[in-house]
Amino acid sequence: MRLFRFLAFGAAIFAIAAMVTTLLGWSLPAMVAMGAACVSALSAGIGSTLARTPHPEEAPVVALPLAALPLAAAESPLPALEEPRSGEPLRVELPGLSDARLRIRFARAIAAGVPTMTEEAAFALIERFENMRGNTSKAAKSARDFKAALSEGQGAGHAPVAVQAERTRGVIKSQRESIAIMTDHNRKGAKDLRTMGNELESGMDLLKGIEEITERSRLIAFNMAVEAARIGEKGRGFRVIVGELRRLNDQTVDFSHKVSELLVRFRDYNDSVVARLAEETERVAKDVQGGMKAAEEAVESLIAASGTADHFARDVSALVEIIDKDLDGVLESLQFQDITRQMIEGALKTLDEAGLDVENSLSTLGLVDSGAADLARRERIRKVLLDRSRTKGEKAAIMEVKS
Amino acid sequence: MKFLAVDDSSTMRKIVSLALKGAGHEVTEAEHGKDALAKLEGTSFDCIVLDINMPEMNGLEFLTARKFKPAVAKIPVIVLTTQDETSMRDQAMELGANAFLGKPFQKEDLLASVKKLLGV
Repeated sequence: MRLFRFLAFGAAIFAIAAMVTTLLGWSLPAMVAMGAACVSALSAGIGSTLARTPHPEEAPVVALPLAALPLAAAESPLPALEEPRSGEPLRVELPGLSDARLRIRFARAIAAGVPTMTEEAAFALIERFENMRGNTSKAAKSARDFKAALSEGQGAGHAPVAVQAERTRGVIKSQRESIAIMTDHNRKGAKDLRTMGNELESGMDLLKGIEEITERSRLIAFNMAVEAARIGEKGRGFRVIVGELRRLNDQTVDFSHKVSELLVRFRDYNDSVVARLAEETERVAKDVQGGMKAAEEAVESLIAASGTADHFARDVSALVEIIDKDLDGVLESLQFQDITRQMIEGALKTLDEAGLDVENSLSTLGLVDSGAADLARRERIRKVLLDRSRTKGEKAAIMEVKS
Repeated sequence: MKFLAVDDSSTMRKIVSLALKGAGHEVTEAEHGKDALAKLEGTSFDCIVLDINMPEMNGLEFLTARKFKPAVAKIPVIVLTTQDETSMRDQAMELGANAFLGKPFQKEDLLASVKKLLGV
Protein backbone atom coordinates (compact mmCIF):
# COMPACT_ATOMS: atom_id res chain seq x y z
CA MET A 1 0.00 0.00 0.00
CA ARG A 2 2.75 2.34 0.97
CA LEU A 3 4.66 1.43 -2.15
CA PHE A 4 1.55 1.99 -4.26
CA ARG A 5 1.07 5.51 -2.90
CA PHE A 6 4.69 6.36 -3.46
CA LEU A 7 4.50 5.09 -7.02
CA ALA A 8 1.45 7.32 -7.55
CA PHE A 9 3.53 10.35 -6.49
CA GLY A 10 6.39 9.27 -8.63
CA ALA A 11 4.10 8.82 -11.60
CA ALA A 12 2.69 12.32 -11.14
CA ILE A 13 6.13 13.94 -11.01
CA PHE A 14 7.50 12.05 -13.94
CA ALA A 15 4.37 12.68 -15.99
CA ILE A 16 5.21 16.38 -15.82
CA ALA A 17 8.85 15.72 -16.51
CA ALA A 18 7.90 13.52 -19.44
CA MET A 19 5.81 16.28 -20.89
CA VAL A 20 8.65 18.79 -20.70
CA THR A 21 11.33 16.43 -21.93
CA THR A 22 9.14 15.14 -24.74
CA LEU A 23 8.69 18.74 -25.82
CA LEU A 24 12.43 19.16 -25.72
CA GLY A 25 13.07 15.80 -27.41
CA TRP A 26 15.25 14.42 -24.63
CA SER A 27 16.07 10.75 -24.01
CA LEU A 28 14.65 8.59 -21.19
CA PRO A 29 17.56 8.88 -18.71
CA ALA A 30 17.53 12.60 -19.27
CA MET A 31 13.80 12.53 -18.67
CA VAL A 32 14.33 10.84 -15.32
CA ALA A 33 16.93 13.36 -14.27
CA MET A 34 14.79 16.19 -15.61
CA GLY A 35 11.83 14.96 -13.60
CA ALA A 36 13.75 15.35 -10.37
CA ALA A 37 15.43 18.56 -11.39
CA CYS A 38 12.23 20.11 -12.69
CA VAL A 39 10.30 19.52 -9.50
CA SER A 40 13.27 20.56 -7.44
CA ALA A 41 13.66 23.78 -9.43
CA LEU A 42 9.98 24.66 -9.39
CA SER A 43 9.85 24.13 -5.67
CA ALA A 44 12.90 26.30 -4.99
CA GLY A 45 12.43 28.83 -2.25
CA ILE A 46 9.77 27.02 -0.36
CA GLY A 47 12.05 25.10 1.88
CA SER A 48 13.72 21.80 1.87
CA THR A 49 10.48 19.94 1.95
CA LEU A 50 7.01 20.17 0.47
CA ALA A 51 5.43 18.71 3.55
CA ARG A 52 2.86 20.85 5.28
CA THR A 53 0.44 20.37 8.15
CA PRO A 54 -3.00 19.32 6.86
CA HIS A 55 -6.09 21.30 7.80
CA PRO A 56 -8.12 19.48 10.40
CA GLU A 57 -11.10 19.23 8.06
CA GLU A 58 -9.02 18.01 5.16
CA ALA A 59 -8.25 14.42 4.44
CA PRO A 60 -4.78 13.33 5.52
CA VAL A 61 -2.21 14.42 3.06
CA VAL A 62 0.82 12.50 2.08
CA ALA A 63 3.53 14.96 1.18
CA LEU A 64 6.49 13.94 -0.85
CA PRO A 65 9.78 15.15 0.59
CA LEU A 66 11.27 16.34 -2.65
CA ALA A 67 14.54 17.34 -1.11
CA ALA A 68 15.04 13.72 -0.28
CA LEU A 69 14.37 12.75 -3.86
CA PRO A 70 17.63 12.05 -5.64
CA LEU A 71 18.29 13.78 -8.94
CA ALA A 72 18.88 10.47 -10.66
CA ALA A 73 15.88 8.77 -9.10
CA ALA A 74 16.23 5.73 -11.27
CA GLU A 75 19.58 4.94 -9.74
CA SER A 76 18.59 5.35 -6.06
CA PRO A 77 15.98 3.65 -3.95
CA LEU A 78 12.79 5.65 -3.41
CA PRO A 79 12.27 7.05 0.10
CA ALA A 80 9.81 5.26 2.32
CA LEU A 81 6.51 6.99 3.13
CA GLU A 82 4.30 6.66 6.15
CA GLU A 83 1.18 4.57 5.90
CA PRO A 84 -2.03 6.70 6.19
CA ARG A 85 -4.54 5.82 8.87
CA SER A 86 -6.76 2.96 7.84
CA GLY A 87 -10.07 3.88 6.14
CA GLU A 88 -9.12 7.47 5.30
CA PRO A 89 -8.96 8.55 1.62
CA LEU A 90 -5.56 9.47 0.28
CA ARG A 91 -5.15 13.06 -0.92
CA VAL A 92 -2.04 13.82 -2.87
CA GLU A 93 -0.59 17.26 -3.02
CA LEU A 94 2.29 18.68 -5.01
CA PRO A 95 2.76 22.03 -3.34
CA GLY A 96 6.01 22.54 -5.24
CA LEU A 97 4.19 22.51 -8.55
CA SER A 98 1.45 24.72 -7.17
CA ASP A 99 4.15 27.13 -6.04
CA ALA A 100 5.81 26.90 -9.42
CA ARG A 101 2.49 27.75 -11.08
CA LEU A 102 2.26 30.91 -8.95
CA ARG A 103 5.92 31.72 -9.29
CA ILE A 104 5.59 31.63 -13.06
CA ARG A 105 2.80 34.19 -12.76
CA PHE A 106 4.97 36.42 -10.60
CA ALA A 107 7.95 35.94 -12.91
CA ARG A 108 5.79 36.84 -15.88
CA ALA A 109 4.45 39.96 -14.16
CA ILE A 110 8.00 41.08 -13.33
CA ALA A 111 9.42 40.33 -16.77
CA ALA A 112 6.40 41.75 -18.61
CA GLY A 113 7.42 45.29 -17.71
CA VAL A 114 10.90 44.87 -19.15
CA PRO A 115 10.09 45.17 -22.89
CA THR A 116 7.93 48.24 -22.30
CA MET A 117 10.55 49.86 -20.10
CA THR A 118 13.28 48.93 -22.57
CA GLU A 119 11.33 50.43 -25.43
CA GLU A 120 10.57 53.58 -23.45
CA ALA A 121 14.24 53.90 -22.52
CA ALA A 122 15.21 53.37 -26.16
CA PHE A 123 12.77 56.05 -27.32
CA ALA A 124 14.04 58.50 -24.69
CA LEU A 125 17.58 57.76 -25.80
CA ILE A 126 16.66 58.19 -29.46
CA GLU A 127 15.03 61.53 -28.67
CA ARG A 128 18.20 62.69 -26.91
CA PHE A 129 20.22 61.23 -29.72
CA GLU A 130 18.27 63.30 -32.24
CA ASN A 131 18.78 66.44 -30.14
CA MET A 132 22.49 65.74 -29.82
CA ARG A 133 22.84 65.01 -33.51
CA GLY A 134 21.03 68.28 -34.24
CA ASN A 135 23.36 70.16 -31.91
CA THR A 136 26.49 68.53 -33.26
CA SER A 137 25.37 69.34 -36.80
CA LYS A 138 24.91 72.98 -35.79
CA ALA A 139 28.29 73.02 -34.05
CA ALA A 140 29.95 71.45 -37.07
CA LYS A 141 28.37 74.06 -39.37
CA SER A 142 29.41 76.91 -37.07
CA ALA A 143 32.96 75.56 -36.93
CA ARG A 144 33.05 75.24 -40.72
CA ASP A 145 31.67 78.79 -41.21
CA PHE A 146 34.10 80.16 -38.63
CA LYS A 147 37.03 78.42 -40.25
CA ALA A 148 35.90 79.65 -43.67
CA ALA A 149 35.65 83.22 -42.37
CA LEU A 150 39.16 82.91 -40.97
CA SER A 151 40.73 81.37 -44.02
CA GLU A 152 38.63 82.76 -46.85
CA GLY A 153 37.25 86.04 -45.53
CA GLN A 154 33.61 87.02 -45.29
CA GLY A 155 32.03 87.44 -48.67
CA ALA A 156 33.46 88.51 -51.98
CA GLY A 157 36.30 91.01 -51.86
CA HIS A 158 37.14 90.22 -48.24
CA ALA A 159 40.52 88.72 -47.52
CA PRO A 160 40.96 86.15 -44.73
CA VAL A 161 41.45 87.61 -41.27
CA ALA A 162 45.02 86.37 -41.05
CA VAL A 163 45.87 87.88 -44.44
CA GLN A 164 44.19 91.16 -43.50
CA ALA A 165 46.12 91.23 -40.24
CA GLU A 166 49.38 90.54 -42.09
CA ARG A 167 48.61 93.34 -44.51
CA THR A 168 47.84 95.71 -41.65
CA ARG A 169 51.10 94.76 -40.02
CA GLY A 170 52.88 95.69 -43.28
CA VAL A 171 50.99 98.99 -43.51
CA ILE A 172 51.91 99.85 -39.92
CA LYS A 173 55.55 99.07 -40.58
CA SER A 174 55.53 101.26 -43.68
CA GLN A 175 53.78 104.09 -41.79
CA ARG A 176 56.26 103.81 -38.97
CA GLU A 177 59.06 104.24 -41.49
CA SER A 178 57.28 107.22 -43.08
CA ILE A 179 56.85 108.85 -39.69
CA ALA A 180 60.52 108.29 -38.93
CA ILE A 181 61.48 109.92 -42.24
CA MET A 182 59.13 112.83 -41.60
CA THR A 183 60.49 113.31 -38.10
CA ASP A 184 64.00 113.27 -39.48
CA HIS A 185 63.06 115.86 -42.09
CA ASN A 186 61.51 118.05 -39.43
CA ARG A 187 64.57 117.76 -37.26
CA LYS A 188 66.73 118.73 -40.20
CA GLY A 189 64.38 121.65 -40.96
CA ALA A 190 64.64 122.84 -37.37
CA LYS A 191 68.38 122.60 -37.60
CA ASP A 192 68.39 124.69 -40.80
CA LEU A 193 66.14 127.26 -39.17
CA ARG A 194 68.49 127.41 -36.19
CA THR A 195 71.38 127.95 -38.63
CA MET A 196 69.39 130.74 -40.22
CA GLY A 197 68.84 132.20 -36.75
CA ASN A 198 72.57 132.17 -36.24
CA GLU A 199 73.00 133.93 -39.60
CA LEU A 200 70.54 136.56 -38.39
CA GLU A 201 72.60 137.00 -35.25
CA SER A 202 75.63 137.55 -37.49
CA GLY A 203 73.64 140.11 -39.49
CA MET A 204 72.78 141.91 -36.27
CA ASP A 205 76.48 141.97 -35.37
CA LEU A 206 77.17 143.52 -38.77
CA LEU A 207 74.56 146.20 -38.03
CA LYS A 208 76.42 146.99 -34.81
CA GLY A 209 79.53 147.54 -36.95
CA ILE A 210 77.50 149.93 -39.18
CA GLU A 211 76.36 151.79 -36.05
CA GLU A 212 79.99 152.21 -34.94
CA ILE A 213 80.94 153.46 -38.40
CA THR A 214 78.01 155.87 -38.33
CA GLU A 215 79.05 157.11 -34.89
CA ARG A 216 82.56 157.69 -36.09
CA SER A 217 81.22 159.38 -39.25
CA ARG A 218 79.05 161.58 -37.02
CA LEU A 219 82.15 162.50 -34.99
CA ILE A 220 84.02 163.35 -38.23
CA ALA A 221 81.06 165.45 -39.39
CA PHE A 222 81.09 167.31 -36.07
CA ASN A 223 84.80 168.02 -36.41
CA MET A 224 84.28 169.06 -40.00
CA ALA A 225 81.51 171.41 -38.84
CA VAL A 226 83.86 172.91 -36.25
CA GLU A 227 86.56 173.39 -38.91
CA ALA A 228 84.01 174.84 -41.35
CA ALA A 229 82.90 177.36 -38.69
CA ARG A 230 86.50 178.32 -38.01
CA ILE A 231 87.30 179.14 -41.63
CA GLY A 232 84.20 181.37 -41.77
CA GLU A 233 82.44 182.28 -45.01
CA LYS A 234 84.73 180.06 -47.02
CA GLY A 235 83.57 177.06 -45.14
CA ARG A 236 79.83 177.68 -45.79
CA GLY A 237 79.62 175.23 -48.71
CA PHE A 238 81.52 172.77 -46.63
CA ARG A 239 78.93 173.19 -43.81
CA VAL A 240 76.18 172.27 -46.29
CA ILE A 241 78.10 169.06 -47.08
CA VAL A 242 78.60 168.40 -43.38
CA GLY A 243 74.86 168.93 -42.79
CA GLU A 244 74.09 166.40 -45.55
CA LEU A 245 76.61 164.04 -44.04
CA ARG A 246 74.93 164.37 -40.61
CA ARG A 247 71.52 163.73 -42.19
CA LEU A 248 72.95 160.72 -43.97
CA ASN A 249 74.40 159.52 -40.68
CA ASP A 250 71.02 159.95 -38.97
CA GLN A 251 69.26 158.11 -41.78
CA THR A 252 71.85 155.37 -41.63
CA VAL A 253 71.38 155.03 -37.87
CA ASP A 254 67.63 155.06 -38.30
CA PHE A 255 67.82 152.48 -41.10
CA SER A 256 70.26 150.41 -39.08
CA HIS A 257 67.88 150.49 -36.07
CA LYS A 258 64.94 149.49 -38.22
CA VAL A 259 66.90 146.65 -39.85
CA SER A 260 68.13 145.58 -36.44
CA GLU A 261 64.58 145.55 -35.05
CA LEU A 262 63.42 143.60 -38.09
CA LEU A 263 66.21 141.11 -37.67
CA VAL A 264 65.43 140.75 -33.96
CA ARG A 265 61.75 140.11 -34.72
CA PHE A 266 62.71 137.73 -37.46
CA ARG A 267 65.18 135.95 -35.17
CA ASP A 268 62.61 135.72 -32.37
CA TYR A 269 60.01 134.42 -34.79
CA ASN A 270 62.53 131.96 -36.17
CA ASP A 271 63.46 130.83 -32.65
CA SER A 272 59.81 130.33 -31.74
CA VAL A 273 59.16 128.44 -35.00
CA VAL A 274 62.19 126.25 -34.36
CA ALA A 275 61.11 125.59 -30.80
CA ARG A 276 57.50 124.87 -31.81
CA LEU A 277 58.56 122.70 -34.72
CA ALA A 278 60.87 120.66 -32.53
CA GLU A 279 58.26 120.35 -29.82
CA GLU A 280 55.41 119.47 -32.22
CA THR A 281 57.56 117.06 -34.17
CA GLU A 282 58.54 115.25 -30.98
CA ARG A 283 54.97 115.20 -29.74
CA VAL A 284 53.47 114.03 -33.02
CA ALA A 285 56.22 111.45 -33.47
CA LYS A 286 55.67 110.22 -29.93
CA ASP A 287 51.88 110.06 -30.41
CA VAL A 288 52.13 108.36 -33.76
CA GLN A 289 54.73 105.93 -32.51
CA GLY A 290 52.49 105.16 -29.52
CA GLY A 291 49.47 104.66 -31.81
CA MET A 292 51.55 102.53 -34.14
CA LYS A 293 52.71 100.40 -31.24
CA ALA A 294 49.13 99.93 -30.05
CA ALA A 295 48.00 99.10 -33.60
CA GLU A 296 50.92 96.74 -34.00
CA GLU A 297 50.07 95.01 -30.73
CA ALA A 298 46.43 94.81 -31.80
CA VAL A 299 47.44 93.29 -35.11
CA GLU A 300 49.78 90.84 -33.40
CA SER A 301 46.95 89.88 -31.03
CA LEU A 302 44.63 89.52 -34.02
CA ILE A 303 47.11 87.28 -35.79
CA ALA A 304 47.56 85.20 -32.63
CA ALA A 305 43.77 85.09 -32.08
CA SER A 306 43.28 84.09 -35.69
CA GLY A 307 45.68 81.18 -35.19
CA THR A 308 43.99 80.15 -31.95
CA ALA A 309 40.56 80.46 -33.55
CA ASP A 310 41.72 78.30 -36.44
CA HIS A 311 42.90 75.64 -33.97
CA PHE A 312 39.65 76.01 -32.06
CA ALA A 313 37.56 75.53 -35.20
CA ARG A 314 39.60 72.46 -36.07
CA ASP A 315 39.22 71.09 -32.52
CA VAL A 316 35.46 71.66 -32.63
CA SER A 317 35.24 69.85 -35.98
CA ALA A 318 37.28 66.95 -34.60
CA LEU A 319 35.15 66.85 -31.44
CA VAL A 320 31.93 66.85 -33.47
CA GLU A 321 33.30 63.97 -35.52
CA ILE A 322 34.10 62.00 -32.35
CA ILE A 323 30.67 62.72 -30.88
CA ASP A 324 29.02 61.64 -34.14
CA LYS A 325 30.97 58.38 -34.06
CA ASP A 326 29.98 57.86 -30.42
CA LEU A 327 26.38 58.55 -31.36
CA ASP A 328 26.64 55.92 -34.08
CA GLY A 329 27.88 53.58 -31.34
CA VAL A 330 24.78 54.50 -29.31
CA LEU A 331 22.62 53.56 -32.31
CA GLU A 332 24.33 50.19 -32.39
CA SER A 333 23.81 49.71 -28.65
CA LEU A 334 20.16 50.61 -29.08
CA GLN A 335 19.86 47.81 -31.59
CA PHE A 336 21.26 45.38 -29.03
CA GLN A 337 18.74 46.74 -26.55
CA ASP A 338 15.93 46.18 -29.04
CA ILE A 339 17.15 42.68 -29.84
CA THR A 340 17.23 41.98 -26.07
CA ARG A 341 13.69 43.31 -25.80
CA GLN A 342 12.54 40.94 -28.51
CA MET A 343 14.34 38.06 -26.78
CA ILE A 344 12.56 38.90 -23.52
CA GLU A 345 9.26 38.95 -25.36
CA GLY A 346 10.13 35.51 -26.70
CA ALA A 347 11.06 34.35 -23.21
CA LEU A 348 7.74 35.69 -21.91
CA LYS A 349 5.87 33.64 -24.48
CA THR A 350 7.80 30.55 -23.40
CA LEU A 351 7.06 31.40 -19.77
CA ASP A 352 3.36 31.65 -20.62
CA GLU A 353 3.54 28.27 -22.28
CA ALA A 354 5.38 26.78 -19.29
CA GLY A 355 2.73 28.24 -16.97
CA LEU A 356 0.02 26.73 -19.09
CA ASP A 357 1.80 23.39 -19.11
CA VAL A 358 2.10 23.35 -15.32
CA GLU A 359 -1.54 24.48 -15.05
CA ASN A 360 -2.67 21.68 -17.36
CA SER A 361 -0.52 19.12 -15.60
CA LEU A 362 -1.95 20.03 -12.22
CA SER A 363 -5.41 20.01 -13.71
CA THR A 364 -4.83 16.59 -15.28
CA LEU A 365 -3.69 15.26 -11.92
CA GLY A 366 -6.67 16.91 -10.24
CA LEU A 367 -4.36 18.94 -8.08
CA VAL A 368 -5.51 22.46 -8.92
CA ASP A 369 -6.01 24.26 -5.68
CA SER A 370 -7.98 27.43 -6.07
CA GLY A 371 -9.32 27.97 -2.60
CA ALA A 372 -8.02 29.54 0.56
CA ALA A 373 -4.90 27.40 0.43
CA ASP A 374 -4.00 28.82 -2.98
CA LEU A 375 -4.52 32.35 -1.72
CA ALA A 376 -2.33 31.69 1.31
CA ARG A 377 0.34 30.13 -0.91
CA ARG A 378 0.27 33.12 -3.27
CA GLU A 379 0.61 35.62 -0.43
CA ARG A 380 3.45 33.63 1.10
CA ILE A 381 5.32 33.63 -2.23
CA ARG A 382 4.52 37.31 -2.72
CA LYS A 383 6.05 38.10 0.66
CA VAL A 384 9.22 36.14 -0.14
CA LEU A 385 9.53 37.82 -3.52
CA LEU A 386 8.85 41.29 -2.08
CA ASP A 387 11.52 40.76 0.57
CA ARG A 388 14.17 40.02 -1.99
CA SER A 389 13.03 42.43 -4.70
CA ARG A 390 15.47 45.24 -5.39
CA THR A 391 13.55 47.71 -7.50
CA LYS A 392 10.35 49.68 -7.21
CA GLY A 393 9.15 48.36 -10.57
CA GLU A 394 9.72 44.77 -9.43
CA LYS A 395 7.77 45.40 -6.22
CA ALA A 396 4.91 47.02 -8.14
CA ALA A 397 4.76 44.09 -10.56
CA ILE A 398 4.73 41.60 -7.67
CA MET A 399 1.92 43.52 -5.96
CA GLU A 400 -0.19 43.51 -9.10
CA VAL A 401 -0.39 39.70 -9.36
CA LYS A 402 -3.90 38.50 -8.56
CA SER A 403 -5.67 35.17 -8.82
CA MET B 1 16.32 59.63 -51.96
CA LYS B 2 13.08 58.19 -50.56
CA PHE B 3 13.31 55.09 -48.36
CA LEU B 4 10.70 52.75 -46.92
CA ALA B 5 11.85 51.23 -43.61
CA VAL B 6 9.87 48.05 -42.85
CA ASP B 7 10.24 46.61 -39.36
CA ASP B 8 7.82 45.55 -36.63
CA SER B 9 10.08 47.12 -34.01
CA SER B 10 9.44 50.85 -33.77
CA THR B 11 12.87 51.27 -32.14
CA MET B 12 14.57 49.62 -35.09
CA ARG B 13 12.54 51.72 -37.55
CA LYS B 14 13.66 54.86 -35.75
CA ILE B 15 17.29 53.72 -35.78
CA VAL B 16 17.16 53.02 -39.52
CA SER B 17 15.44 56.37 -40.07
CA LEU B 18 18.10 58.21 -38.07
CA ALA B 19 20.90 56.57 -40.01
CA LEU B 20 19.33 57.39 -43.38
CA LYS B 21 18.06 60.86 -42.48
CA GLY B 22 21.55 61.69 -41.21
CA ALA B 23 22.76 61.07 -44.75
CA GLY B 24 20.08 63.41 -46.14
CA HIS B 25 17.46 60.85 -47.19
CA GLU B 26 13.71 60.83 -46.62
CA VAL B 27 12.27 57.87 -44.71
CA THR B 28 8.73 56.47 -44.42
CA GLU B 29 8.06 53.70 -41.91
CA ALA B 30 5.98 50.52 -42.24
CA GLU B 31 5.24 47.98 -39.49
CA HIS B 32 5.17 44.82 -41.62
CA GLY B 33 5.00 43.51 -45.18
CA LYS B 34 1.31 44.25 -45.67
CA ASP B 35 1.73 47.77 -44.36
CA ALA B 36 4.69 48.22 -46.69
CA LEU B 37 2.70 47.03 -49.73
CA ALA B 38 -0.08 49.46 -48.80
CA LYS B 39 2.40 52.33 -48.51
CA LEU B 40 4.00 51.40 -51.83
CA GLU B 41 0.64 51.86 -53.55
CA GLY B 42 0.69 55.24 -55.20
CA THR B 43 3.92 56.42 -53.61
CA SER B 44 7.26 55.96 -55.25
CA PHE B 45 10.31 54.95 -53.23
CA ASP B 46 13.93 54.60 -54.25
CA CYS B 47 14.81 51.83 -51.81
CA ILE B 48 13.24 49.48 -49.25
CA VAL B 49 14.97 48.45 -46.01
CA LEU B 50 13.28 45.23 -44.95
CA ASP B 51 13.21 43.16 -41.76
CA ILE B 52 12.49 39.42 -42.00
CA ASN B 53 10.70 38.47 -38.77
CA MET B 54 7.47 40.42 -38.74
CA PRO B 55 3.82 39.68 -37.99
CA GLU B 56 1.09 39.81 -40.66
CA MET B 57 3.53 39.44 -43.55
CA ASN B 58 7.17 38.67 -42.97
CA GLY B 59 10.09 39.84 -45.08
CA LEU B 60 10.29 36.70 -47.22
CA GLU B 61 6.56 36.83 -47.93
CA PHE B 62 6.92 40.48 -48.85
CA LEU B 63 9.75 39.67 -51.27
CA THR B 64 7.57 36.98 -52.87
CA ALA B 65 4.56 39.31 -53.13
CA ARG B 66 6.78 42.06 -54.52
CA LYS B 67 7.67 39.92 -57.53
CA PHE B 68 4.09 40.18 -58.77
CA LYS B 69 4.02 43.96 -58.59
CA PRO B 70 6.15 45.32 -61.45
CA ALA B 71 6.31 48.83 -60.02
CA VAL B 72 7.52 47.52 -56.64
CA ALA B 73 9.72 44.76 -58.04
CA LYS B 74 12.17 47.23 -59.52
CA ILE B 75 12.76 49.02 -56.20
CA PRO B 76 16.00 47.78 -54.61
CA VAL B 77 15.63 45.99 -51.26
CA ILE B 78 18.14 45.89 -48.43
CA VAL B 79 17.32 43.10 -45.97
CA LEU B 80 18.16 43.94 -42.37
CA THR B 81 17.66 41.04 -39.97
CA THR B 82 18.84 39.36 -36.81
CA GLN B 83 18.61 36.10 -38.74
CA ASP B 84 21.83 36.70 -40.60
CA GLU B 85 22.62 33.08 -41.30
CA THR B 86 23.85 32.07 -44.75
CA SER B 87 20.70 30.08 -45.48
CA MET B 88 18.52 33.10 -44.79
CA ARG B 89 20.79 35.31 -46.87
CA ASP B 90 20.57 32.87 -49.79
CA GLN B 91 16.81 32.63 -49.45
CA ALA B 92 16.37 36.40 -49.36
CA MET B 93 18.70 36.96 -52.30
CA GLU B 94 16.92 34.28 -54.31
CA LEU B 95 13.65 36.08 -53.66
CA GLY B 96 15.11 39.25 -55.10
CA ALA B 97 16.75 41.12 -52.24
CA ASN B 98 19.64 43.27 -53.44
CA ALA B 99 21.65 43.50 -50.22
CA PHE B 100 21.67 41.66 -46.90
CA LEU B 101 22.81 43.04 -43.56
CA GLY B 102 22.69 41.50 -40.08
CA LYS B 103 21.42 43.26 -36.96
CA PRO B 104 22.87 45.07 -35.16
CA PHE B 105 24.08 46.91 -38.22
CA GLN B 106 26.61 49.68 -38.51
CA LYS B 107 25.52 52.92 -40.13
CA GLU B 108 28.51 52.84 -42.47
CA ASP B 109 27.53 49.38 -43.74
CA LEU B 110 23.97 50.47 -44.41
CA LEU B 111 25.12 53.62 -46.20
CA ALA B 112 27.69 51.63 -48.16
CA SER B 113 24.92 49.29 -49.36
CA VAL B 114 22.79 52.31 -50.28
CA LYS B 115 25.69 53.81 -52.20
CA LYS B 116 26.33 50.55 -53.99
CA LEU B 117 22.68 50.14 -54.96
CA LEU B 118 21.71 53.73 -55.66
CA GLY B 119 25.03 55.39 -56.32
CA VAL B 120 24.46 58.02 -53.61
